[in-house]
Amino acid sequence: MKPLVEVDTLTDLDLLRRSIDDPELFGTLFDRHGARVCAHLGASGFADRADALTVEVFTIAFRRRGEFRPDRETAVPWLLGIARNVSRNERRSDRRRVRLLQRGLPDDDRATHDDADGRVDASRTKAALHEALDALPREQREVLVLFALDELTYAEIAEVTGTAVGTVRSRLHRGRAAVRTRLATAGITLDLEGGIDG
Amino acid sequence: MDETAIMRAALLADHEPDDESLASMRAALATATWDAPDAAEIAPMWRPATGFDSDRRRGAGARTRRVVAVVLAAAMILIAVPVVRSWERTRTISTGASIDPDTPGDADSVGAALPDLLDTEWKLRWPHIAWDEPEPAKAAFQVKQFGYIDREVPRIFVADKVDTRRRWFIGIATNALTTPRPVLDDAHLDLTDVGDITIDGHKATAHVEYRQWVHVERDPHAPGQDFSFGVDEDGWNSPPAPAQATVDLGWEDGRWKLIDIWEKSWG
Repeated sequence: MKPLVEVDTLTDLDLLRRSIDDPELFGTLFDRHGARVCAHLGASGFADRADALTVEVFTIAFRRRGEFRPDRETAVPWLLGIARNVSRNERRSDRRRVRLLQRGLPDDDRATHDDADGRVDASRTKAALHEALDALPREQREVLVLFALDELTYAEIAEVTGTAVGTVRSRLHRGRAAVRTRLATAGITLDLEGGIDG
Repeated sequence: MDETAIMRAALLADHEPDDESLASMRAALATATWDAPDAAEIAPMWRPATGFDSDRRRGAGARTRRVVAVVLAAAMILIAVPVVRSWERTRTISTGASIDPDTPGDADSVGAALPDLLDTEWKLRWPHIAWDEPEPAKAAFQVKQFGYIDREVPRIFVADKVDTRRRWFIGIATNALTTPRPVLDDAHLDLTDVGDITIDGHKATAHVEYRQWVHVERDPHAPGQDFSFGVDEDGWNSPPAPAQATVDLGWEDGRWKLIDIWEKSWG
């Protein structure tokens, strides 16, 4: 009989350590961060296959769990770093195929953001925001997603992306400025105090 | 609510998986990992000495195990080093060549080494260009240091991993200064033909034909999109005609290394 472990009290590092002898414990790591990694992949341009890529990320993490640096408590930057590599491989492998498909379509799936009901301003803003993010250069979008969605610090983003903190700051600055400009063009401002005006 | 929070809420609303999706993913993960029939084989093969195996190093016999582990590790290193060196030689010298590092490889070995050498060279000649660094003074210094352009730098520009010997950097620097924020995404070279190869002692010369590929990410917010080095609407230099060049190589440390490339035509 396995000893009872209060998994909720374990840090990610402890979980990974223990999962070497008790692999099933790795599932708790997925429970903690699976949704986050999946949302990150979805927001990074893989909404149509975020689930499958998330499984791939955690499968790689499972195989490499012995390499997790023992000076880290949280596994989030590590997992997002793996997600970044998986994304890059995915993007590289089907870059040409995707372009060909996009050429053949009247519009891409971004159209789904502003389709149909047009119910409230919030949905219009959300659609505009997605369009603005989609229009960003990949490097800026990546940093913006890591900052806004994943709530990583500058240093953690730099670690995930393999860039200098200064580069993270400037990409973030430019990315946010570009999003603001695009939203303003659409007649939408992000009110720093009160939220969305549209 | 600040704008970051608004973005986060919008992204989460569209991309956060529901419980059903998470359950499916967890089940798939379990099948691929800890529930797999070969789960033991996909367990980590190596554990950091200062990390996860610390628990195992406690208790009776730990000292003996450590001594045995150290002796075994030393023995493995002694065995592995010559094996790896030998493997590197045989990998570099593909056929019909001596494994003696002082004896140059034959023409086959030159042909075998050229694809990687040229591809690496091509990538080196496209330095990482980070447009975001707010250090124009540093950029101006770097560009002037290379002696290629002696004028005020109009855009923020920092390049690292630049080999000052590379003549192609002239073109890259010029493009970098005059084009609107192209972000290099990929660069690779396909060797399409290898012509005559001559070997003279530790030097070799090869005539080659190749295609050079680069891909840049366009910045949709940049004014103008006239990339002077000519990329298509997808950001690829297309279609690259084959380029011809003469490649000088030298035999060093048991392998061919690239000394210089003399372009005869541009792709």
